[in-house]
Amino acid sequence: MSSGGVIRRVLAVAGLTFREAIRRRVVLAALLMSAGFLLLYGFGLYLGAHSVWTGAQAGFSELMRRAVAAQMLYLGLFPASLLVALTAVFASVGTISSELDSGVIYGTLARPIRRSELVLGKFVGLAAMLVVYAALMGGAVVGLARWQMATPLLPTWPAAVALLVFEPLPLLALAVLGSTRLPTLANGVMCTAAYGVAFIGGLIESIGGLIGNATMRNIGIVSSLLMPLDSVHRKALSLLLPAGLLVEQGGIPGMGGSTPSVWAIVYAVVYVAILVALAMRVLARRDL
Amino acid sequence: MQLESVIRTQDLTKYYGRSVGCEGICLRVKRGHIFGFLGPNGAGKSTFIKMMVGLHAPTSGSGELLGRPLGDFRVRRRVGFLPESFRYQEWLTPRELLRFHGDLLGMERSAIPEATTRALGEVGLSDHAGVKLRQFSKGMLQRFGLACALLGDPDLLFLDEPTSALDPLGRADVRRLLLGVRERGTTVFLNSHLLGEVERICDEVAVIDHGHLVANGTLGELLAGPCEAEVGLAEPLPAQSAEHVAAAVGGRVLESAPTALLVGLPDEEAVPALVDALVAQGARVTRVDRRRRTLENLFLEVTDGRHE
Repeated sequence: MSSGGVIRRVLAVAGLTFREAIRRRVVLAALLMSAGFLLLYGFGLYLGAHSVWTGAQAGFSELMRRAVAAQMLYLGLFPASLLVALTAVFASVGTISSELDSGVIYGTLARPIRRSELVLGKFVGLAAMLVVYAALMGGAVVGLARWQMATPLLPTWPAAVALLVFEPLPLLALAVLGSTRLPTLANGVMCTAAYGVAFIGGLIESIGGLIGNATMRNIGIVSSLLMPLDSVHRKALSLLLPAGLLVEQGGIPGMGGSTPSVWAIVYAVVYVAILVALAMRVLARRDL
Repeated sequence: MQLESVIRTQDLTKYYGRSVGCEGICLRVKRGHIFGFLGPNGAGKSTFIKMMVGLHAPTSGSGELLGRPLGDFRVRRRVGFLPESFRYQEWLTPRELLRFHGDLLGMERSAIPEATTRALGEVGLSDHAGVKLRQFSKGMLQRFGLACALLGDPDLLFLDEPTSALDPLGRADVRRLLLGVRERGTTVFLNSHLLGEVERICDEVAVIDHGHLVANGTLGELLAGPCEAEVGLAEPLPAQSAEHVAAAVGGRVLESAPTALLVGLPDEEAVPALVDALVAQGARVTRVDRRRRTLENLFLEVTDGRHE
């Protein structure tokens, strides 16, 4: 069968998955939470800007102003990425397993479609939803910060935005892989734990970097091998904000340590590809 | 016309760990037949169907579907399947979901709307093409499942309990539908508990029990053999001459009343001979009631009635 057939089938599944994802309650809830967060964040920025430019701290040096602005953006991107990551987990932990439970999958798989195409379509559809969501969130946070505080951005900011958009995909790949084998709930627990490991690992690595503790740094490196999420986030921040502004503040989780190399990003991309390939293989070999 | 097998299996076997799904199944299903696949719950019917449509991989043995080895996903372009669960993406309308299936089938995009309309029309859901499946009753969902299986004019249909959620009228509709599908040359593999339904429309049946094929053949072959004839008489016949007559046609009297006889016969062919012989003895026959072996008799015999 021609590759046109493969692409058509993958896109058909992806389209259906995308539509299903955006109409699910979990995404609606995420959007409501996001709207609430952005409102609060925008208000915070307004207060911050007011304070730095005209209020009590109006005497701040230009450098200090820029540092506060950078800090505010840094702080805003953390909850934004948290919301995107949790949405990635909860929107996709049951993407295969729940269809197996309900029996919906039988109608699809009795068609001339390879199971690997189904898995790929599911991944692409969910990734599309997350990419849109992450782009909206990242764009809103950066936009608000620029608007309110004229936050200085590095010329590499487009690459940073691309990384922020890519950030939920390792977690998505893990959730899709898990859903080919695990019950939905167990998969949710596993993926949430993986997110926790990545986050805590990144934190330990940062502190280790600050205090010069090699063991702590290594723990962080291992955690980012298990779930390359925090490393992508830190790389994005390093491409977005002038590092000096934040390092001067000192002791900021996730920014104190060394900046991840480009290999961390390569690793994350390979990680996603391998997990998706594994998911295809697991489903293809399973009796359903 | 040369009949060709569209399903062919050789020693098809599936084990789940140590338990037997089905074992050593050798089956041929001829093109254009309605094939009834029967068996008690847990006998291995679903295992077999799942291997046919590629959901389960056989442990050993081999099989062909429309001339292609089992597991070749491309052949499923010519196969329709109604799963026992008949659950679908409930947030879609039939039209939307059939478009998805049309895409998976690789149908011409421009041909999908018309094919959708036709498939929904065949199952009586034309007026519900734009209603969300969530609002469908179970019976309507099962009809939709049939429409979905019929999309793309398959050469081979696998139907797993297609009338379980239907009322008697719905069952009659499906019966008509399947006979119409057979007219077009489509082969139907029907998995059903409803022996009466199967007996009315199937050309051939197989019975599976404990994972093994215990009977297989055309209905005529399987239901042939001994039958009983109940004969009504205007006036009593001497018991001895009744015995004599029955023996003359190869049967024997099972029960006798003054004006009625129940005669066991070697096969149905013997019924006219029995009547002739009775008349020759001077009996005045008022009625003859042939009691044929039913699929239910057969089913209970070959499965030892071990299950309900």
